[in-house]
Amino acid sequence: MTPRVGQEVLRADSMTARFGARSVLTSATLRAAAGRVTVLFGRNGAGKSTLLSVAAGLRAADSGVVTFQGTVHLRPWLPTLAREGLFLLPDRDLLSPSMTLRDHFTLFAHRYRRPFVQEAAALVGVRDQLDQSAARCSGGERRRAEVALAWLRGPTCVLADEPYRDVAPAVGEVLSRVFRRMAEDGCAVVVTGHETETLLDLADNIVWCTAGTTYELGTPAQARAHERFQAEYLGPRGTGINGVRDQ
Amino acid sequence: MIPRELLPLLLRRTLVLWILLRLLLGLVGATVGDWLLPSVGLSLRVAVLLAIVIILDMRRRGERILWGNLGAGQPAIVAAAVVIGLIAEMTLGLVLRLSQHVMQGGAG
Repeated sequence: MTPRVGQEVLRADSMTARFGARSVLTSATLRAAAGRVTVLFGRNGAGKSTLLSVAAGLRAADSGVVTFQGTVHLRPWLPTLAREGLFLLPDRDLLSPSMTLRDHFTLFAHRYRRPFVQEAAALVGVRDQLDQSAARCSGGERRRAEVALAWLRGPTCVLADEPYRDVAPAVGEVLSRVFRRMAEDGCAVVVTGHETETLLDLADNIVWCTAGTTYELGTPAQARAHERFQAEYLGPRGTGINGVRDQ
Repeated sequence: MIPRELLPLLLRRTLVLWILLRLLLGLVGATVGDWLLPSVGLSLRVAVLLAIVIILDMRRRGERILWGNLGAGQPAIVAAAVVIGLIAEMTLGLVLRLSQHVMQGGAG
């Protein structure tokens, strides 16, 4: 059954995770609602990617519960969640370098009974690259193809980790258009990144991840007005750090 | 469980790796002799080696998340590869024994 707009699709509740002695998530919660784009902001090392990884079942959390489409997963696992409608777009390459874009698209089209290979390629402008190996595509073409793959799968929830990193503004616009279209189709979209203006334009809800925990800030306007978020993340001019690394 | 849409790709890749593994074992074992004819022990060792090679191959290609998004986990992929490898071993053994039988019959 398709969730109605605003209905919670994914909830990763009170997640904790540590790498060795370092505690990355102390008590972080991520919620994704159908038909909404949630943007997860946070400085490098704040735990955004870890939160997405544990919510998607790619990495085991130390504690916390993931609820996906009403089913509680005490030990979430990506293949299980993916079969139920989750799609994870990692911060590194998703595509196999030994397959063409058409191979990838066809595989997902057959697997999820969505025969829209040409439409997916046209959506992001990679029709001419369909028979090209992913290894021979540019970074922007690969990223567009990955987002098209997410659309082709027709997920109920997509978790995209820094999809705008290292892509040209024009490519970023294409990605935003596809994410927005997915949300309009009822998908719960979660995106992380540092491209503040682009992401604030895209978002319906803002979540701020800092010091291993999360704060739901509300709409982009409410987030902009949040004093601590502005002081600690957006900066004094409120324009964001725009990808400047603060390792 | 492996989604059936992924089986042709997995079958193709596993057979290529099995052939390469068999050739490699052939090169290594040629001096020892009787390296080709599968026995139960040798076939099981080949299947275990094939499982390791499949995992390494997936890592090399960086496909864990791609396959995960398709609903296929690594344990299922490895198990399927082992089954394919064992079937290939049995087929090889059968073909070799049949050809030996035919040659012996021809000589007799």
